[in-house]
Formats: sequence, C-alpha cells, structure tokens
Amino acid sequence: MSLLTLTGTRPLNRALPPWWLIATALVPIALIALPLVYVVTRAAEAGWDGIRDEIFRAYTYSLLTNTLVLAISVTLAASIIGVAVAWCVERTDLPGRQIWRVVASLPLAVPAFVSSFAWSSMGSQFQNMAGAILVLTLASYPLVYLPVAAALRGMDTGFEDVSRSLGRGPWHTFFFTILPQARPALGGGALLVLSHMLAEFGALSLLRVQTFTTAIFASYELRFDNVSAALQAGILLILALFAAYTEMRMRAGTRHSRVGRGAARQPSLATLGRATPAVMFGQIVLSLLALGVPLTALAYWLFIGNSAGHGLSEVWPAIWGSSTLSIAGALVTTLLALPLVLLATRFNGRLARFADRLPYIIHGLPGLVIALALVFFSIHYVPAVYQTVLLLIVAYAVLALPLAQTALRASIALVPPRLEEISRSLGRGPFKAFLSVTLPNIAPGIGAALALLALELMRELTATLMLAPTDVVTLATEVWSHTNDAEYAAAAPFAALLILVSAVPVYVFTRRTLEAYEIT
Amino acid sequence: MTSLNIRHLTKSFNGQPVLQGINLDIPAGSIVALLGPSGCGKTTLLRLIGGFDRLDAGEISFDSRVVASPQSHVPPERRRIGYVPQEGTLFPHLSVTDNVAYGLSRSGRQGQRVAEILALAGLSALGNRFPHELSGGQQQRAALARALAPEPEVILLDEPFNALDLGLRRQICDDVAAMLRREGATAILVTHDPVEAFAVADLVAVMHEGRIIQVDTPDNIYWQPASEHVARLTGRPIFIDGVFQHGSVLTSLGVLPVHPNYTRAAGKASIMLRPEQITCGSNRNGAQAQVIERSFRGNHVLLTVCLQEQTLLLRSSSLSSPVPGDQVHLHVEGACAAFAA
Repeated sequence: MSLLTLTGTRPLNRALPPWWLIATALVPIALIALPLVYVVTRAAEAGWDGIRDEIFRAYTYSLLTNTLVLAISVTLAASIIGVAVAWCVERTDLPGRQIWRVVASLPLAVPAFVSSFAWSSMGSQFQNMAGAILVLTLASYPLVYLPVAAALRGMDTGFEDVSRSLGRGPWHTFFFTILPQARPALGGGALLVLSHMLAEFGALSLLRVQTFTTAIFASYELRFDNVSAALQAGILLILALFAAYTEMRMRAGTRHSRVGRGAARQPSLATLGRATPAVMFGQIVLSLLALGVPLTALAYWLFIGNSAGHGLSEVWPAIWGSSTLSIAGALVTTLLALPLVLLATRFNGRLARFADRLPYIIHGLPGLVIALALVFFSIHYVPAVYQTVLLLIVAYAVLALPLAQTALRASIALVPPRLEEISRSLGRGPFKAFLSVTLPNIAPGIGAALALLALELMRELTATLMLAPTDVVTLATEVWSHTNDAEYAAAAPFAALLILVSAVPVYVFTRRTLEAYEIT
Repeated sequence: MTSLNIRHLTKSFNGQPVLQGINLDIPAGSIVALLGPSGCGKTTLLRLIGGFDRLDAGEISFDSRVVASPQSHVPPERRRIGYVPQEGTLFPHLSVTDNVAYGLSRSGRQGQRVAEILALAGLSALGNRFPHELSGGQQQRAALARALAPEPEVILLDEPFNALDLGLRRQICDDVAAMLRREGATAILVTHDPVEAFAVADLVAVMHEGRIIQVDTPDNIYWQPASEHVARLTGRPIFIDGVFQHGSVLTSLGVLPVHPNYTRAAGKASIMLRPEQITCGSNRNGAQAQVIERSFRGNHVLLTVCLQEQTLLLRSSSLSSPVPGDQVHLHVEGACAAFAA
C-alpha cells in the first residue's frame, strides 16, 4: 500500500503539468541560476592558480574572519536575547506582558541600515566590529523572539507538569523539556538571522566593518568585472547556501505531536518574585537600545534638518523612485511566482518539488551577488539593458520571489484542487475552470501579496545601489548615501519614511510567524 | 438514464497497484455503494469514472459510449457527470443559487431548473446565502443540488457525509437518497460505513485491496457475505466452528440451517451468525451458556456469554436481561453463512 493511501490523503494530480506551466516556471529558475553560473564561470576563468592566490590571501582570511565573527556573534546574541525575552513575555508574571509582547517585535520595523544610520550619527565609537554586533543584534533578535514566543504560547504544559512531577527543577525542565520543543522555532529563527548577517551590506558599510559584502562592493566600484569580487562572492555564496540548506533541512524535519485530544491548558505563569525589577529593567534597557536610540536619533536629525529647511522637494524624487520601482517589482515577482506556486501545489514530481524548495535556495543568495551577476551578464551579453530599470526589476523579482511564493501559496491553498475538479465535472475545460473558480478565489490573495511585496521591496538597498540607473533615487539609497557622507540631517526624512513604510510588512511577518510556529 | 460498465480496469500509482482488474456493471437509474476500508481503492475508482485520473488498462463505458480506455480519455467536462466530494466544496465566491446554476447553460439558468432543484434540496429560502453562511448539512445538500442541476448521466458521491456529525449524517443520508430517487439518477456512492451503504444503495460493491470481492443487494451482502472479510466489513459477525451434516451444520448452538449458497457435501466449516440472530431465553431447548459480563448501552445491552469455552458477544434487550453469573439458553433464528474452515 502506498504511503498516500495509508495516510488517507487523496492523490494529487498525477498528470504531467501542461507545457506552458513548465515553460513559465523555468523563467525564474533560470534567473536564479545566473549568480551560480556567474561565480562558476568567473572562477573557471581565473583558473586554479588564480583561485588559490585569491583564497590564500591574508586579506581574504581577514574578510572570512570578520564575516564569521560578525555572523556567529550576532546569531548567538540574538538567540539568547530572543529566547530570554520570549520566555519572560510568554511564561512569567512580568507586569505589562501584553505591551512587552508587541514592543519586543517592533525593532523589525527599523531596517538594519536605518538603525545603523542612527547609531553612526552619534559618533564614530560605534563604527567598528563591536558596534556592528550590538546594532545588528538589536535589529535582529525579533527574528528569534517571534517564532520562539509562538512556540512557547502553543506548547502543551502537560510536558512541564510531568517533568516537575518526576522531580526535575524549573531550570532542568526549561533546558530538557521546554527548549527541545521550541528547538525548531529557535533553530529556524537563528538560521534566518545567520542568513541575513551573511548577506547584510548596508549596515556594515555604514558602520565601517569589512566583510565579504562590503569588500565585494568596494571591488565592484573599482572595476565591475573584478575577478576578486567574483571569487569573494563565491566564498560568500558557499557560506550562505550552507545556512539556507540547514534551514531547509530543519524546517522539513519539524514535527510536533500532542498525544490525545482536547485543548491545551492555559500555561501557568512562573512567578518572578524578587527578580521582577531586574527583569523589568532588562526589558526597558533592551527596548531603549533597540527602539529608543534609533527613534530618538531620528527625531533629533529630523528636527535639525527641518530647521535647516530641507523640504518636500528633495523627498519627492525618492518617494517616486521607491514607489514605481517597488510596484513594478512586485508585479513582475507575482507573475513569476504564480506558475511556481501552481506547480508546487497542484502537481507532483521532481520539478514541482524543486519549485517548492526554491525559496530556500534564494534565501542563500545575497542580494549583492545577484546584482553582481546581473551587471556582469548584462554588460557582456545584453548591454542595452545595463543601467536600465529593467535589470533592477529582475533583481527585485529574484530577491522577493520567496516572499511572493509564501503569500500566494497561502491563498492558493484555500482553493482545493477539488473545486477545479467539480468545475470540470460541470462542463468547464481546464482553462475556463481556472478563470471561473480559481482566479476569483485567489484574487484577493494576489492583491495582498502585491501590496506586501511592494512595501518590502521599498526597504531593499543593496541591489538598488548597484543596479538603479544613475538618475534614479529611492528612500533606501538616499539614507545610505547621505549617511555615508555624514549628512545625517539630510538622511533623516528618508529614514523616517522607510520606518513608516515598514509597518505593514512587519505586521504581516509577525502574524505569519506566530501562526507558523504555534504548536497545536 | 445511463448504465455504466467497467471492464478489467487496473490502475497503479508509482508502481503500487491500487486497482487490480475491476469489473462492475451498474444498471441505469440504480444507486451503487462502493464499500471498503480506507486504502482499498474505492476513491481511485470513483476518480477514474469521473475522468480526473487516467486508467492504466481496461475500459469504462457509459451506455455503449467508451469514456476511458488506454487509447482514449474523455475529459471530465465532457462526461456529463455530477461530482460531490467529501466536504461539499461549494465555490466560496458564489451564492447558493449561483453555485447550483454554475453547470447549466446560459438558457438553462433562465428556466425553472435552479428553483426546482433548490426546492428539492429544501434550500429555496437560502438561495442568496454564501457557502460559509450554511450549516454542514445545508452545504452538503447544496453540493448535491449543484451536481444534479445539469441532469448528469452519472452522479459520483465521495464519502459525502463524512464531515457531518453522526445524527445529522443519518438525516442527510436519507435526504440525499430521496433526492437521487426523485431525479432517477444513476449514482455511485463511496463509503466505508455499511449502514450508510445499506440505507442508500440498491447494490453494494464491497472492495478490498484493489478488487471488488462481492456485488449484491444490501440484504444479501449482510446475510450472505462471500467471505469472512465481507462479513466483517458489513457489520459485527459471530464466528463459531461447525461441521456440515445433510445440508445443515452442527455447531455448539445446535443444528443450524445454512443459506443455500453455502451448502457443501460435508466437512468442517466456519459458521457466521449476526448477533441479532441469537436470543437469550430461559426456554431449556437451546444451548446452555453462562453470562460473564453485561454492558449497558441504553437501547440495548451487550452480553458476553461463555458457550463451551468460547465467548460470544450478544445483543439483548435492555428491558429485562440476565446478570453476570446467570445461566441462559441461546436460540438461533434464521439461516447462517458458512466458510471453509
């Protein structure tokens, strides 16, 4: 008996996908292959000697050390803070838990390069490795906090009660009963932080820390087809794909079980007692550092800038650039993602499974490497598109594809294949069935996905810096270039707008994470 | 009205045979239940009849029109079928009326058909509601109305009552049977519940591991199952040992008559009775047994009795029944089925 029949799952469509679906799904797959092809062909050109010389340079070694020290320190620190905050907020009698629950996730609304703007505007003492670790940890701990909090909230407290009844103390219970259950959430969050850190460029460049990304950007600015840049990109790609692969394996293995039915009981809250003031103090300091400092600095520079007379006339081109680019990017991304999602949800087979895993591969592609590959290929093979908006839109589409896939998947999952079959049984052909049943039901989902994608793309900095035509500016590039030139007051209005724009995608991400990791 | 013929049909998924040589003839206008445990291939068979999947070998024809064979495949939209899956799956973006009208031609939508079928389903007042505003039973009736509206040749029902709770299930089951009879449709109902199959169907086809092992009327399936397996799938059986003697069997319950289908010359056999055939009484003619356990179940009691070192589980009236330790006498009504021991 096949596994399908054993589990009672009704067979998916076993027919081969139609040719047009395969053809359209191959487009994004080909785009994603570009960075890999780029690194491999450039490395091949450099030859073994070239590769060896590049890899065994003291400079490469220092880049590798910096990249790893930064990524691992931030991941560890963010994990510790994230778990601690999640536990205090979800499982203790900390006063004001409902408020802390929201406040703790808010730093996500401040893009890392925007908080770097704030910290570096206060003086150069933060423009080093320690400063970068501090700023990036504060910016990324919610990525661990959110999934772990969701897991803690949904967890059956029966396990804890049993552990305590068997004579284990609260600490033992936490490390051997609670934490193992939250492990998929913690691991997923930590690996997400790790991927982000490997790909981070804007914040590190503003905080003057040399890692692979900033080095690649510097070599690129010197000469666009720099072999060093390609080889450094190759090493970065290996690190990032490894993190992405681990994340994929971890999610695939996620399985929670609760034996027996019935609702899980409300967890009993741990009493902090005399520790309450200390925990409270910790929460306040964390929020001040993660939110208070960037927002206060921003407010200060806004005030200074306002009095210096920077008006709407300077902000308008960036708003125009950001909106047009991100809306076009969102449209293209959605069009590219739709066939992939249909393939993954409606069909079986190797291509469908691959389409399903694509987002993890893209998570492993730093925006910088994607942009570099696009620059290289366009200049060499289609010079007409270099320095055009088209190239940037393509980069956006690759970068935002995972988000589009998740968003569309959720709405397509609401339309069971059975609906299309009923439509077929009532006399409609496959295409008419799609038009009259599938499309009306996913249209609201597509609309929401478009909005979300557009807002998320407005935060994009790296690819925009490298690919946007010279006369096009966006909110993100304006923050970066003004901060780079130490024009903090000039950067402030753009930064403030970016934070406002971030609110929606961050809200959606928060909701989705809470739902995904809530153990039920 | 359409008859349906299935010949030597086979189907496998990923090298795993799911259907192995299915033969089934469904007379025009009759309701057939495909009864079997999950994983026996009954839903696969239904999907092949509907044209949602392709068969590997064999042939399906509606009347004399071949709709599926290895060489030809009529797509579902040209088979004139109606399909009701497990959870009705009404189109969520359409009202009840629009759902029902979906399968009708443009001129068909103008006519009386929609109103007529809504009335038949008892949904006349709910035409403007959307699927999420209906109860589970109403959704299921609307789904059937939608399937029946275009007057299909064959109606396919895939465990349509599964999602409903038990009380509602029996009620909707009766409603659906009535609607199908009124429309005179040829229908195939997939189910794992023998009570449902018996209540709705003219013929029951029992499936096991990709094969149809018996096709017969509900009565015959229940009382004269073709194998011990069918006996177990169609209700609670009691098995005791027996020996053939002149067309009857000698058992610990006495000499019992056997249905004519099973009569053999001689030899040992496994005898099947249904619990309701055996009554406990004080009349001393029957075989003597001792009550071991009594379990009260409201409208009946379950008695565990010991009969010559074999325990039997019997149903008895809950009005007056013996208590553990009592000696009772067992009487058998009707004939029994017999299988090679």
